[in-house]
Amino acid sequence: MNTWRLDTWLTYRPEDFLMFSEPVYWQMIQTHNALFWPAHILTMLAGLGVLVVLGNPAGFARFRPGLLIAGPLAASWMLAGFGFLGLSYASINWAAEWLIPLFVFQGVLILLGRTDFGVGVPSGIAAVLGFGLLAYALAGYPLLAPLAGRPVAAAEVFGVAPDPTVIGTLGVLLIARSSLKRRTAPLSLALAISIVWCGVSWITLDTMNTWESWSPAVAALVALIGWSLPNAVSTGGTPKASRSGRAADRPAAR
Amino acid sequence: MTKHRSKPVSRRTLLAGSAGAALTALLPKAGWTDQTTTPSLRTIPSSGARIPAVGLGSWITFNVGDSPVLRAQCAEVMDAFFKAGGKMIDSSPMYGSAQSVIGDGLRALGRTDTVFSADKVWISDTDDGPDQIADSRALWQVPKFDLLQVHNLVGWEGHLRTLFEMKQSGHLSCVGLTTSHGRRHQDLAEIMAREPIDFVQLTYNVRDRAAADRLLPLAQDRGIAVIVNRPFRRGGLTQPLEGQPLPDWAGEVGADTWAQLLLKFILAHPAVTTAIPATTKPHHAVENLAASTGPVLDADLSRRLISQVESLT
Repeated sequence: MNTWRLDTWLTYRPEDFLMFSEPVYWQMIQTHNALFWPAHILTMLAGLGVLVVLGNPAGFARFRPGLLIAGPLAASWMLAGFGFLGLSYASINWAAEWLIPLFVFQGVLILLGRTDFGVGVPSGIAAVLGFGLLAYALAGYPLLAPLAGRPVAAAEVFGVAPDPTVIGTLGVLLIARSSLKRRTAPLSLALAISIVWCGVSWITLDTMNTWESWSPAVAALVALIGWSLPNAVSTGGTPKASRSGRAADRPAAR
Repeated sequence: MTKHRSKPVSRRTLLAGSAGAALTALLPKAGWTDQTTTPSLRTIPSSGARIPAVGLGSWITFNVGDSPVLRAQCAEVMDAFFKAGGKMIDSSPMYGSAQSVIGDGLRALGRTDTVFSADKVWISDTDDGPDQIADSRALWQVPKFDLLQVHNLVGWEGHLRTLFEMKQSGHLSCVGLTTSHGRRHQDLAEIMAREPIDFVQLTYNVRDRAAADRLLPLAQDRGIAVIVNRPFRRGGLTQPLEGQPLPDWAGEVGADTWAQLLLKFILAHPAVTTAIPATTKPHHAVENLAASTGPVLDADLSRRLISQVESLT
């Protein structure tokens, strides 16, 4: 008699794995926010800083724009991993602890791929989609809680909660990709990890029957569309620094 | 896996703190405190001990994390349950923070010695079973478990050895196995036929009746007590029935709600020892216990209930 049987596992549905109720989930987020306040101000400012640098990398050329982008982004993943997953989410979902290494790995990956960020002026549809996702993560996502009738104290903020952090990352990755000649391995892997989280979040929210479940799903879809578009490398305003030395990754010079 | 070792909450803390304030504020409105229920008792065949026919489940409802307000609300449900004559609470290491929520509630309510504690062992490496059981007992804050069950048959052979040894040495009263959602009935039947277990836990309700084909008769034959989980299909039965008129014969069997009718259907099977609905509302805990009193559904009424529920859900 086998303990593990495929035919048994095939009978499971997502709701069989949901071990908390919707009110408890939102309450957990509110409690987490109270625990980390006022870190939200810093993480929001960091996110805005990333947005500004991405919009004008040449203006920050002497400040190593890649690091200015990758640093806060990597820190946000670490904070969401150790903070949200480890300290709060794990209190109602023991499986959350299994995902902490993924968030740490993503943070390291973003740092390793820092030279792929802020390479040139973003352009093309991918950049537009990227800026849209990043702006939504920073300014739109926190509004979902009050729009759904929950207190502002339960808002999910970039850098503190995983969903806006991941959606913002998707935006950053699209923007970075728009200024590169080809998709690099670190960015591709970072995109894949972000998409995986969007899937986890979508299934969780959808199983709870919350209308916000569309948010990570649409973000992932937008990111995949933007990622698959042909490259539209900009040549204007390219920072002179090219620390990676990989000519193929840089915008084409005219 | 996270160990939920929150600070123990005393009754005074519960009532004095903000969580206690929230709890106290609910009491006058709830109305359950005025109700008195004497639930019917059923016998555990292997021991002869008698327990109320309705217990309290904790899947999802008691996994509330570290929120003091929500933990106090769970303690209020437990308080109502005990005051209405309830005894058995069921949980598992798989249920997130539920074990620690139950433990804090029992301690605050002074019920650590009187609860019928039914927990589970749920870990694939059977060598780690004893440690998990020790952790669970610490979270429950009980001197020993009344019942430990192998959760979903995970590592059942090794865990059964551990549990039988615990029972032999007096550290455990009863040994059981669980399954749910109608899964692995064949495996469970084989184990029931050859192992000297005291309890099985399985899913049986007005829409999920497969257990009645083989497992429930086998439990009767073998003298195994039966705990029924998912009596309401986690709200999947009660929610569609909300607002629907009760059958005209409901009053004759002492049922005021659909939930009570659904429980009465389960309890009508002579093999069933106890059903364990989970709830977040104290008055529902009382209402569920009350379903064990009054007339039992006969075969005809059970058939009519099945037909009616199937037409409405």
